[in-house]
Amino acid sequence: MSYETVILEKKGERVAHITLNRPEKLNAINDVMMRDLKAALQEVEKDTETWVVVIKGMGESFSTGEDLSLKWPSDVMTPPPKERWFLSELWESEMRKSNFWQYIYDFPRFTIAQIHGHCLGWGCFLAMVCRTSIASEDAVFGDPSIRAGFTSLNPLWTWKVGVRKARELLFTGKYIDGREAARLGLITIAVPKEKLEEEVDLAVESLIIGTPIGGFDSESFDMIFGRTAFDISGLAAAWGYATNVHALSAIQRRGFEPGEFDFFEARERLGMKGAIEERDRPFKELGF
Amino acid sequence: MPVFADRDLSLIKWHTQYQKNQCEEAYRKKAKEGRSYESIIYEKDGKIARITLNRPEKSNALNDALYFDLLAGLGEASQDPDVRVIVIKGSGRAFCSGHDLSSPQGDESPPIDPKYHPTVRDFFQFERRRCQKYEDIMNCPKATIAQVHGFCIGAGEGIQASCDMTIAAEDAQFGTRGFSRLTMGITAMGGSGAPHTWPGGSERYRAGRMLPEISGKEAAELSLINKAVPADELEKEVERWAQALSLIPPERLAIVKEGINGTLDITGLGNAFRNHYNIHLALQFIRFRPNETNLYKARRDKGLKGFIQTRAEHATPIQDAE
Amino acid sequence: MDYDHIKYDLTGRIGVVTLNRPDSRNVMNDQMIAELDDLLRKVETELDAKVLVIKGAGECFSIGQDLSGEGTAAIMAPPPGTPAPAKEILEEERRRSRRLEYIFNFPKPTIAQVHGQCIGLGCYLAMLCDIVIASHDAVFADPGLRMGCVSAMPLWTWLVGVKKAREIVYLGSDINAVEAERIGLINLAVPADKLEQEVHRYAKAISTCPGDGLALCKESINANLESRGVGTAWRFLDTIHLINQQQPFDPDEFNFFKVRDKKGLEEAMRERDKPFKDLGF
Repeated sequence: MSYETVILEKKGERVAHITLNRPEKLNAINDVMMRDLKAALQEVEKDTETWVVVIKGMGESFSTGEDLSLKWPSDVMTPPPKERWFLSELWESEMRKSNFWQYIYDFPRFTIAQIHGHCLGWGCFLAMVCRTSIASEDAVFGDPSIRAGFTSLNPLWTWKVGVRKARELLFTGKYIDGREAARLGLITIAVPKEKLEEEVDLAVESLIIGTPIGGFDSESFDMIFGRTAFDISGLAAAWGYATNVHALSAIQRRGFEPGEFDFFEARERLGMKGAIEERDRPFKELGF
Repeated sequence: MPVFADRDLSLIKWHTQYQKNQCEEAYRKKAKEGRSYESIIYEKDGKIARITLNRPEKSNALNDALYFDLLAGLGEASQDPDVRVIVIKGSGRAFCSGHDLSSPQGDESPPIDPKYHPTVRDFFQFERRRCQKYEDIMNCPKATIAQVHGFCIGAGEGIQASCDMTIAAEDAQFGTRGFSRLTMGITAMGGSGAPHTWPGGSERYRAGRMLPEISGKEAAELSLINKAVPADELEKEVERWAQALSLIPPERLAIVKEGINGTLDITGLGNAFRNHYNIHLALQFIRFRPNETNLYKARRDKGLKGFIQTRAEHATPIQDAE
Repeated sequence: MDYDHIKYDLTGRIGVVTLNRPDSRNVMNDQMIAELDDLLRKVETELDAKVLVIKGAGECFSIGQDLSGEGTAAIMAPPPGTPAPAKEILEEERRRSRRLEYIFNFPKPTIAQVHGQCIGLGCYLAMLCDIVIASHDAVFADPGLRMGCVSAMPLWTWLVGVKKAREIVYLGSDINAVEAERIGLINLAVPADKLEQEVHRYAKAISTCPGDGLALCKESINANLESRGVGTAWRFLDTIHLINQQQPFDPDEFNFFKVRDKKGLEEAMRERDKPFKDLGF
């Protein structure tokens, strides 16, 4: 099957590559891409011979995250506080998002994220929900959504980088490079840019050679039961909670106090690019 | 090696009447049995007891007898009012190479062959015993130190993870091998219930590679163990830690240890152990695709040597450590 | 707001709390904690302060509880073995851990700016903050067990992992800033002359974010810990404390409080740490 915003290719008997394909938008994720990515994964799931899925980005970046130019109604962008909408619409949209991420997180095959260039916001989510993530050392990671007043709807941050660093990253929205991301545990491996593809191929090969030892049956048990262990230690509850708090961050209709950055207002005034620049300017001045 | 026979119980200072009764009873029983250990060496040196896993010809692979002796040794040290610190180490070239896969069929320690088909009821009983061994080590009321050199693989890793502290040689090798080795890296044990990385979701525990094996030095850098020292200084370093831990009054240590273990249980560790039984139970019904290597069959047909050979043939070195 | 033992300043949108007993290395007693409590409750509803920095005046952050035994009834249980009804001890413990939890869940981001010693309750205070930035001369420790008192802090396990937690709590040895950064106890270790500037940089950046968003972001992260059971762990440790308080000192056990009453606090501290120091801990 072919999709509008992703490319699904089978490479050999065991491997599928899914390429995010909106290079002109730096693979920003919109509603169509959400739907396509899930559909592509479902297609892979039906093919029991495929053990490994590599997710990567076309063009100069892996993904800059959620497409900030989208207007409500959209599952990717929350509604602006001033527009009229029903809470039930928001909650349903939040549930769809959460289920989307959990679907990839629980995907019953090996998933590998191959990351280069920008990997921001939802791009980071995509890296975190894959079982292995390999990035070039100069890739840029971060979730700047707090700068516009939103929280992360993905609870995996604290699991991946620990409580201290999660707070540091999410309170300031700061950017880190691939090497630092690997040191913190956000991603598995960071390699020089020119070696990225080679490293991913090596990882894929190791899975294909290694899996038959003990059998895919036992690997698959480990994937599924292993996830249960995290749920036992609170991850299941945390998904729900993070989703609800994210919805709350969209709901706070009080709007913003003077001086606080209102993304929706800025977007109307300056356009998307200008709004992002304005959002990041004070942080850049401080070196974040 | 009967260790109790010549003790004069009247010289011991007891904390409570209850402890006195308990210990005297245990001492009488042991003295009567003249307990001797086959698979471990139990030594006592003042406040420090040392348990040496002693099957060097098998790299201290765990079979039922070794487990039994290890737990009995821990029991003896726990009961002994003089002992404050227990050091667990391995003789020969390794700390422990995991389950003894050459154990006779019917032994509970190694993974059960899918062809063996025990009933679910049986299975739960012995699975519980298997997993409870780690919990028993973890809940030992005295301070425990694992002194790790050489290989510390599979179940051996479970043992060191269940001790309070681990001091390792820099070139020691930690990891899981054989089954389920690729999905979660070194946290494979954390995912299925070992406490040291629990709840271990961080990618950093994989030390930047697909193979779940890391050196003592890396493990110390990741705080998975307490300290790594050059191999020739290991003995001395462990002695230093044991001396320091022996300064802590045993009653206080038991209380604070319960505090930390309880905290782990609150995060669901006990529940994760149960989940672990289920994995094993499910794996009873594993089937192999035509192109997959059936290691159980290799063991059945060719014995342990054949098993290791088959595994080595298929597990080509995948990735360098550097 | 006038306090004796602490100081509060608001610069821009950054509230700065200074533990202010420099002559006694910011040692904590009932009064300081009560003042801190009072201040936090006021700052909680004050919209001007979007982020809170906690630091110490003088040579260090804080050396922890006042061990002299004077004026610490509210923040320290009576020495182990002191006859006291279990019910009262438990209630006291609950009050203490609630106070710590309150700081942990304070609805604004908190930054601890640590230099010099940061010991015992001082270390707990830093741990409760969202972000900890320390200078290279900072030293962290939780030496309670050396005095027969068990650690009151469940966050050790979550922050530094179980192996390190055991090491820190059992042995009470010092952790330097670089080691603290490596094990995840703090965010950042910086040279002493850069500390103020670095903390300000973080505080300024955080205060630029929308305040409601920050509160929710903190809620989301703390809820992650809650779903891993940290709330239950506080309750559980209250009981562990009770057990420890009711367990008398053994005749041959080092009795810190007895030595203190006989030979003075300084000598008691020296005797407490000497055997560990001799072994290099």
